[in-house]
Amino acid sequence: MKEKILTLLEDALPTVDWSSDFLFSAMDSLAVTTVLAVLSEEFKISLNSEDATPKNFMTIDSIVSLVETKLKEK
Amino acid sequence: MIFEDFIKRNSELYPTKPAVICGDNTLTYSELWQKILDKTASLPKNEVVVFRVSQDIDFLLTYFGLHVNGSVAVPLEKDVPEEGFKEVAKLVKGFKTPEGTADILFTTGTTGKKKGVMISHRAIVADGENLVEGQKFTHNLAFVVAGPFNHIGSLSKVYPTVIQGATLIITEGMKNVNDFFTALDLPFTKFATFLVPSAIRILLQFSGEKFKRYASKIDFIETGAAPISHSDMLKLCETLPQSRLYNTYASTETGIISTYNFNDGRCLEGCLGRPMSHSKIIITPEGLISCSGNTIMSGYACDEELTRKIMKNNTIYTSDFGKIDEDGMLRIFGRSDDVINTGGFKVAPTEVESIALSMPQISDCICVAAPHPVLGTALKLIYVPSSVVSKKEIALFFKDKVENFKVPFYYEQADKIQRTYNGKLDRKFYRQNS
Repeated sequence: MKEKILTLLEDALPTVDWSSDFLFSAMDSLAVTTVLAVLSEEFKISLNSEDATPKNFMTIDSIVSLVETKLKEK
Repeated sequence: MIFEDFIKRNSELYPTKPAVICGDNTLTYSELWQKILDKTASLPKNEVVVFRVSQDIDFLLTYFGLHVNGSVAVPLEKDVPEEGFKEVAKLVKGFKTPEGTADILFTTGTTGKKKGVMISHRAIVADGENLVEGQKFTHNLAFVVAGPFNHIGSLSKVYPTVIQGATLIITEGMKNVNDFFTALDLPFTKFATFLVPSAIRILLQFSGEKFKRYASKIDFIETGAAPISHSDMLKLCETLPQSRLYNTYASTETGIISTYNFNDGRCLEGCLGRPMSHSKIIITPEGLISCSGNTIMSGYACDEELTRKIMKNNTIYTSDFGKIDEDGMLRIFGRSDDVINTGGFKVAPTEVESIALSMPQISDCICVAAPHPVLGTALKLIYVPSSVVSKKEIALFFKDKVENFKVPFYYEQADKIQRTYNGKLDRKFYRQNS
């Protein structure tokens, strides 16, 4: 799962350093929105702007956890 | 008179009224004026001062403080690379600005060269008064700043808000939408904001239901800086049926010219309303929009030739095609030059191409506008590699050299780039096939 998400996001946002522990602060609003759009489409989950919190977007692992949680809620 | 005189006046008329809120910090008008005076001690006097914007109260203290000191403020994008910062600082060093200059705001020209737009104190006040009248800013309004302060869209809303003694709420924009909604939870009865079309798309697409719940509190929203799609205009009217929703014609060079409330039952696409009281619009025989009045720039800093190209007899000749309709309202059709508007920022494709061509692995390229689900339009780089190069390598190469909005979003490898019979890039071909 993590590898798949990483590949998708690296392709969509090549300038972001996905190994960062402070991902949210490195992103702008377009990058945050792109993550929401790419992941909702790929996993058919409902992600909204309120999910894009500094905590949920802190690292690639926290993004993976967010997707897993949303998949369970489906 | 300078704009800051309004803050001084408000500190006497409304000393305890909140002037600005940012996170947990609130300054009343009397505190704001005192902090500005304190700040002036650490700021240069009668100089041209280049600095990076920050999305907080300190930016306002620096900006206002420089004006009070008789200095000219040159606020640059917060992520401008060091090289770009030094280029601007070198350009304006020792430059003698015309009497009454308040700001130099940098934008991108058709060639990619930075243009320093000189704005006078008179133009700032005129922008503010245009907006007070055109959009009905009132004393009990809380205006949420949701975009960067170096962009005319957000910076210009500081003026009418202060003129009316209303309250500014500073947020980081649409990156953390929760902060935006938190601002709307503050104890005010009427809110307004300026959102570029991509920010409206983000709200409608990812927070539509929540946005609807704030409908009764939103007095008005202004958009501009880039074309908004008609479907988003209609959706916004449906989401906020009681709010005034303005589409405005403005640019750094012209100032705030005209505005149209598209929540009027007609929701006219491409309509930008009637000129405001300080402004005049004339359509040239070629169908291009020209503007005059108190809001227009004083000229480009250090570039008289470029100034003469677009400004004659205190009139700015824009590259926007338009007409005045039977109701006296401005209608816009598009641009006559190659500049690409992405998310409200203008980018010269030549600047992007020149950076790409400085990569040894790229032998030819063209930068074109491509449709994007949120931005409306994004930059796409079509390139011919001379050796193996990845999309990531190209993007990172750009990131070190230019602001984020100039980094292409899409990349396409090609065997050759289409050129016209005389060897020029065939932009028309790519426009027709995008």
